[in-house]
Formats: sequence, C-alpha cells, structure tokens
Amino acid sequence: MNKNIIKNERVREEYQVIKHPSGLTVCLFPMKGFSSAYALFAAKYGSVDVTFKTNEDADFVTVPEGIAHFLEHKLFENDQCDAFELYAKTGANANAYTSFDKTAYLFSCSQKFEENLEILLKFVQEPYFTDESIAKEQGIIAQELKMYEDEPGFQVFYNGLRALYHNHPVRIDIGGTVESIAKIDKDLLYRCYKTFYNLNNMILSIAGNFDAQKTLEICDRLLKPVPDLGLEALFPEEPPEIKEREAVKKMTCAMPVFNVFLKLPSFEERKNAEMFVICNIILETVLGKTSAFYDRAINDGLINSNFSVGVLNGRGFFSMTADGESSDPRKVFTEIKKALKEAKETGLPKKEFENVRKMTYGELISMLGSVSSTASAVMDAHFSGNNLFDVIEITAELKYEEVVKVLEELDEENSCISIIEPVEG
Amino acid sequence: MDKLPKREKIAEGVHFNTITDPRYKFNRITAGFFAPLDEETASLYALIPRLFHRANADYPKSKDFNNYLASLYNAKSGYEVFGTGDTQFLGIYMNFMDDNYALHGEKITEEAVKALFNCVFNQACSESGDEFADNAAVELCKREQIEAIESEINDKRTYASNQARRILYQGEAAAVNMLGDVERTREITPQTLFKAYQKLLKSAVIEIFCVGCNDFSDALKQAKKEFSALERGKIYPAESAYSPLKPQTAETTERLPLLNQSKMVLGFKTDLKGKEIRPAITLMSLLYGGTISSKLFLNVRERLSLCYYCWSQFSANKGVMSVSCGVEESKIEEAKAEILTQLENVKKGDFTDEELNSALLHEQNSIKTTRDSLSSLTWWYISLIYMKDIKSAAEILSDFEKVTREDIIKTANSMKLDTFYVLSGLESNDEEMINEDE
Repeated sequence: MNKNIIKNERVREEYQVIKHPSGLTVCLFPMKGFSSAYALFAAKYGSVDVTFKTNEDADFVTVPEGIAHFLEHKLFENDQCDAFELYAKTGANANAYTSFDKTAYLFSCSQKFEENLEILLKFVQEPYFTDESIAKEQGIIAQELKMYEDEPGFQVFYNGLRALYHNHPVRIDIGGTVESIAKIDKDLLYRCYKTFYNLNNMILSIAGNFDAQKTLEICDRLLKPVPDLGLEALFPEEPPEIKEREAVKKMTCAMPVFNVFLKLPSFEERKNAEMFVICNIILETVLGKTSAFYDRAINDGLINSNFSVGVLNGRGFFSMTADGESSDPRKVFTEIKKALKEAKETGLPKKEFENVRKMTYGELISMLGSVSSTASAVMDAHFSGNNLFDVIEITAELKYEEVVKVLEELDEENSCISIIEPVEG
Repeated sequence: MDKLPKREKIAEGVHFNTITDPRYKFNRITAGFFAPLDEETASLYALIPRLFHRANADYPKSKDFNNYLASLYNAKSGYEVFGTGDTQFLGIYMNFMDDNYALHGEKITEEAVKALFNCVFNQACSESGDEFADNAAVELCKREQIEAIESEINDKRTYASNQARRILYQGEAAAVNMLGDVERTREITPQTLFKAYQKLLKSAVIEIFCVGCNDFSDALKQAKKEFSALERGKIYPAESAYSPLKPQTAETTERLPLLNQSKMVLGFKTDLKGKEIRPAITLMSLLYGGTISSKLFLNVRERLSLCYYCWSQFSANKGVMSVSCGVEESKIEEAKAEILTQLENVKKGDFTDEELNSALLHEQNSIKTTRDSLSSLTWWYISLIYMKDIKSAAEILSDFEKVTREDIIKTANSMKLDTFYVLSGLESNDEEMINEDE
C-alpha cells in the first residue's frame, strides 16, 4: 500500500493519500474536535462522459445522454435490499449527486461511522438492474427533469452552455432528457458501470471524526481488486469560438434572469488550478462586490445583489461566468465586456487585487472548517490532478503580474449571454 | 452543544451568548432582533438589515466597505430576514477568519467585531439626526426588496409553499410575508426607516450570538458599551400561537403559464401543545415523510414513482405539519390519496419499531452534526431561545429517546387536514392564447 502524507505548514493541516492495492485512491483527513464525518465514494464519471473506450473495446462507443445520473439513482438498490434502508438503521444522512465530470455517493454521520462506510462501499460495488426497476426510475427521473424545466436558474445556465459550446457534451443537461433516458436499458447501465466504476477511476475521500486505521481495515476487507482497464473518454473537437452570442427563452418569472459566459480553452492539472484561482480573482476584482463596475451597476439599478461571478471548469471545458437578475440583461452584458476591456487597458487596481486575493485565501481557509467542504475539495483536487493545498498555496503566493498577464490575453468578445424573459400573462 | 452557551443579560431583553471551541478556524457574530410579524411594519423592518449590512458611518460607501471586508480575509457581512411562526427575525452577522491564520499577522477579530457593531449602531445620519443620510442607499435597498418579493415566483417550489402558508395561516401574523409587500416598501423614506430602526432598538428582543474559537470578551465589552447607552422601552413579545384548524379544508388550485410540473402542498394542524409533545410530533413527521426511509419517500416516490420529491416537515411554533411534492397534473389525485393513506397508516400504528428507530437515529445524527457548523449552531440555539426551551444537546436527545410508538400514534391522530393547495400549468387553450399574444 502506497501512503503519502500531504502537509501544509501555512494552515497547519495534513491528510493521507493512499493508493490501495485494489486500485482505489483513499484520502483520509481526520479533523480533531469535530463530531461528524463526511465520506464520498466517487467515480470520475459525469454527464460529459458519453464517448469512451477501454482496452477491452475495439473502438470508442457513444451512449445516450443521462446515463451517469441514471446510474447514480439506480445503484442505491440491489437484489438484497435498498441502501437507504440500511442507512435508516444507522441514522446517517446519505445522498448522491452527478455533475458534469463526476458521480459521488456520500454520507455524513455522527455515529456508527464504520457501519456506514461498509454500506457505502458495498452498495456502490454491487450493481443490480432489472427492467422493472429501470422503468420505475425512468418515472422518478422524468419528474426530476420536469422540476428543473420550471426553474429559471437551471434553464438560463444550461441554455448558456448550449450557446457557448458547439460540440462538447457539457452542453447537455446532466440528467439528459425524458427522451434520452427512455433509451436506457440494463445492458447500457452494466456497460457504463463496468467501464467507469473501476476502482482505478474512483476515490474514497473522508474528512472529520473517524478512525483512519479502522477505515483502512474496512477497505482491505471490502474493496474488490480490479485491473486498470485503461479508460479513455473522448471529447469531440471544440472550436475556440462561442457557438451563439445569445440564447433567449420565456418562462414564468418576475424579471429577466441572465447568465454570461466567457469561453476559454481548457487546461490540465496544475495549470487548471492556477487558471481557476487567477480567473476567479480577475472576475472578483473587475466585476465583484469590491469593483467599480459592481458599484456603478448596482447604484444605476442595472443589477441587484443576486449578481455573482465564478469559474466553471472541468474536463475539456473552462469558462468564466457572471449571473443575476436585471431588467436589461443585454446592457449588463455590454457593461461586463466594457469593464474587462478597460481593466486590460488600464491594468487591475493593485489595492483591490490584493484585497480580493486575501478574500479568496480566506474563503479557502473557511472550507477547512467544514467536514463536507474538506472531503469534497480533496476529491475535486484529486480528480483534477492536484492536492487540496495546491489552490491555497497558489493563492497565497500569487503575483499581481501573473494575473495581469492572463487578463491581457482574455478575449472578452468570445462570450455569450443566456436570458430568461418573463412570459406575459 | 455539549454545554449550554454562556449567556449574559446585558440590557432589558438583550442577551449576549457565547460558544467558544478551539476546533473552529472562523468566528461568527450575529445580532438578532425579534419583532412581531405585522403587515404594517414587516416591509420597514425587513429593510433595516438589508441596509445595515452593506455600510456604516466609518465606511458609508458600500464599495469601500466591501473592500475593507475583503482586506480582512473575506470577513463576510451578511443579513437574514425570515418569519419564524408569528415573529419576524432580523439578523446581521459577521463571519471572519481567526487572527491565527492571517498571512501577515493582521488583527481580524478586533476589526470585524467593530465593523459589525458599527453596522448596527453607527449608521450615517442626516444633520437633523432623524433620518438616514444616504437616501440613494435606501432607494437601492427598496428596489432590491421589491425585486426579492416579486421574484418569489421564480422558484416554483418556494412559491407553492409560500402560497400554501398564506392560506394555512389566513388572518394570523404568520401569513404575513417576511419581506413585507411591494406597496409598503415603495412608501418607505429615510425618515420612516429611521423611526422603525429606533423602535426596533427600543422594543425588540435582541440576541447577540457568538460562536467560534475566540473567547469574545472584547465583543462583550463593546456590546455592553453600546447597549448601556440605549434606552429600552416596552419589549415586543417574541412568541407564536398555534394555528387554529379551519372548519372545512381550504382547497385551492392556482394556475401559471408554462409550468411543466404541478406542485402540491397539504397542510395538517394539531391541537397538541407544549414542549413535552414536540419530540413526539417531530419524530412522527420524520417517520411519515422526513427521511429517505420514510413512508412518503418509500411509497409515493420509490414504489409508485409519482414524484421526485415528497416530504413532510413540522413547524413547532405553529403546530403545523406540511407535505410538499412535485407531480404530474394527471396524477395529483393519486399522489394525494397515497399521501393521506400513508398518514392513516401511521395513525393506525402500521409502522415497525425499526421505522421509529430510523426516525430517532436520523434526528440524533442531525442534532449531533449541528455543532460542526457555525451557522447551524447559531440558528439551533437562536431557535431554542425563541421557543424558550434552552437545553443542552444531551437533554434534547434524551427527550427524543423517551418517545414511544403510542406517542407517535397519538400525535399522528391529532393531525387534521386544513389546507390543500395545488399549483399547475394553464390549460392548453390558455397557453395557446399566451403564445398568440407574444
């Protein structure tokens, strides 16, 4: 068993990264004094993974959209019992989620940690699908998809991604569509399960109040070693330009909601982490609450305090975003581009940059005060080829000049806006 | 939670509460005000924390204040306005990193505490001293409040639940929108707002709540100084009354354009009152529809595939248990029938000891997990203070452990359907008319 201690002197924290003989990466972050523990058993498999091959396949295969999310729903039950029933006996708070590039099964608990861990490791490794249970789940997921169809916040986001990307599957809703999930059958589920739920493609990340030694003993007992199948996910070639400048939809809402996306090329590992920090700092400095743009836009009534900025990144996609509500979203879009252009020409205000850097650092430290945020951040860092403290160190050491260089290369015109307008009636 | 918070009365109706725990890297101080929910004052009071958290006399411009907070490593000045039963809760808080983690040895705590008290007690006023000086900021906050009230419709689940609440509590304070209404918000002036602020400082029950690794002794000194200069009058009661059952179930269907999924809310009321009965009703609601092993989850969702979500929750302040779900319009009756059948099953005692134990374990887990989050811990104790039932976690857990299956049956049988609310899409003919109008 290969064990590494990842330490950070600045925040006086450490955690273990273990390459278990089964192929699984196990990350253990005990947190003194906490009452609860939070565990994530996750696969590097999200909604974008629709085309793939392993060394057992002759060629790449493309499957219907929404299978990663469908699998997430289905793994909770097998022929013996339902994982929810088992968790009910321990009182743990259990759940799962699928994102663009991962699927995570999780629980938080303040008691019976070892029992909960056993439940988690067992049910995720024991798929069991029948035609009947798939039909039942299609009904439940259809209701989930319809629920999101009525939420302007979701619609404005996904419509924006469809305007931003030509081909990359990030433009597809994580849950797929009612039509695409109707095509899912048990053969497809088993195939995707076997491909992506290979322990070499997974992580167990735990933070909080638990016994590391006992955890590893449970891993030794329950993890079933598997050969690495050399999984490859394939993404279609994505042009660097946006697909459409604007996407508009009408829904029942009080005032227009918008989401602006600025498209960048995707980055790998350390560079991805650096760009994540730098782009967040640029957005916060130029458009965030400390900026002249924000002050002007909010005082002019162009935006309200629901306005926020962020970075959306994952395998094969990277974009800077700004979203909110406005009676004139197109004007907000113009002003955002203008603010970025001005910042490129006149340079970032140094004092504001330094404040935003401290703000970002403070936010990262606050993450270490929560067992769920810590376990999730360890998982995210691992899947993107980094460790948890990389982002903290990048932020602490970041130079003004590095940020200015990235800003200067940004093309603010390579951006689009998605708008949800209120329907009259 | 293992121990009770250190609680000290610092003025009439004003308490300073502290929980110090070295495990935290952050601190949080909340200044919380309780006022009766009243349609005449709700808009005014709701605007106060919205205005106050964004600036103070030292930093009268929001941009400068935000930059100052960012320089304190993302010290966060936030506010919370919500209705708890018949009471409007108004809170301003400051969340900040402890000095131990500053990159250059900055004194974050001292500055953040000062900033919070400045937001509450030291806002820029006009020369006459009877109105807030920054009329533009008041107007901006009014606009934001109006937009927030109007935007309720964006989130259909919240909208449905609020519409149902208005019917459930018709004629009671709890029916009043926690943000007030658009008309009354429009009428607010810097002068009327200042008067409301003075009234609040004079009459509200005020709880200062500090959680974190700091010992908060400096914050206590500052709070004592601020409140000693304050003249307190008659204190508003901070309490709620149980909601009376309607003689006949109120049934309402509301229709909105372009809605794909209907939302349904069933409101049940109990007449069982008292602190002693709360653990039993809470566990009954969990067993019925509050967990992933509950009757509603396992039957309405898992067995019949009718819904993605279907859950129940109990409001101890009002004696109301509500069930919410999203469902196809054609299956509303089927879902309603199943929801009622499952309640009947609990009433008849048709549940196992295992189901009861699951509900208990769920609650135990949730209580014990609360102490790992500064905000959860703050709201946990503020809720207990509001219910005048301050106990340690161990005492509360022990109360839950004493609940028997007979208690569950008794509390389930006390639940009577009061309100049935449905939010659906317009009939297809009406939708066509909207499309033609566009």
